Amino acid sequence: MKIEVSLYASLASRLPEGCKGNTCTLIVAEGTTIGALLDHLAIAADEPKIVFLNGIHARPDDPLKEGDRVGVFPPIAGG
Amino acid sequence: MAPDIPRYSRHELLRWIGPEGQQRIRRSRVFVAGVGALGCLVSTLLARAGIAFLRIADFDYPEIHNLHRQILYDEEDVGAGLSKPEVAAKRLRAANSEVQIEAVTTAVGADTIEALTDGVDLVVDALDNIRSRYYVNDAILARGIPYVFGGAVEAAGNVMTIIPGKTPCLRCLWPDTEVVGNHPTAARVGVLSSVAMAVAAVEVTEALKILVGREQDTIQGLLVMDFWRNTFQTAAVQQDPKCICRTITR
Repeated sequence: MKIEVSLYASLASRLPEGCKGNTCTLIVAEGTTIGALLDHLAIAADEPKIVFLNGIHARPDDPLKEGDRVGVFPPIAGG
Repeated sequence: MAPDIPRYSRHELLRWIGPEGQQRIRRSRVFVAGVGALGCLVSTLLARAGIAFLRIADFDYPEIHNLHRQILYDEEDVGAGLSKPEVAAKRLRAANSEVQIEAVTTAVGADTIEALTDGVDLVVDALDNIRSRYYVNDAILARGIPYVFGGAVEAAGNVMTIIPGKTPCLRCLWPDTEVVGNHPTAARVGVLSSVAMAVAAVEVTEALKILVGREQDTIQGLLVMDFWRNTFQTAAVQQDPKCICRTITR
């Protein structure tokens, strides 16, 4: 199934080769979870990040479905 | 002798502000939370824009490693015994004596947030950690005060404008308390001075939109900027159905 992944700021370089900009359409297996997707993108479980699924905060065990939009950000909190 | 060109003419000439918008700015009361890199520029530009009242709060004192990006402090302020808000207030009054400045030397926390957000129309965030921002977020939701969040670290920045009851809040963005104690800080990974200034400039722009009554023109979502990799994107953020902002908004 197809999903759309956007990686922001310092995480953008983790998108697979061939992707343009910070957003890419990926094909993943049915039943893939957010956590499995992050593993695939080499974003470690203990790496500080915020993950959104269709604009709402997501958990590692949230399952993905066709057409989902995933966004991953580094937490930028300095002042 | 009256000046030939009015003080705020360059703002009044803007089609989005005009004389009416400037009058609204002149009546505005703003709290800037934190007077570090972001807070120095935010408070400078808001004071120079001619708001009525500016409250600034921070518990810290100027240090030499602040000076590359915290533009209200000079070498003479390091070790001089005045807090950041005290020094900042002195410089801001010199910039615009028409603005009432209230300098508060305190941390933004559970026991201070009520007083710090009392009697203001807007809060602009210049804090350096997520935990303190939760206090601001919860207070503005309860009081119905708009809040401009901003953050900068390394060469990246983000800005989100929060209108209670209308937009997602900071807890929709950061509900995960694990991240609270585990985010990169300037003390650990550094921060580019120009990035902090750029984030602060965006925050001021958002603040002025709100103050002149043009909430509809504010950023919709989270603006994420990476100034070294030259990327500027706005990410969609929805109100989280499980977030406290669904229940505590006034």
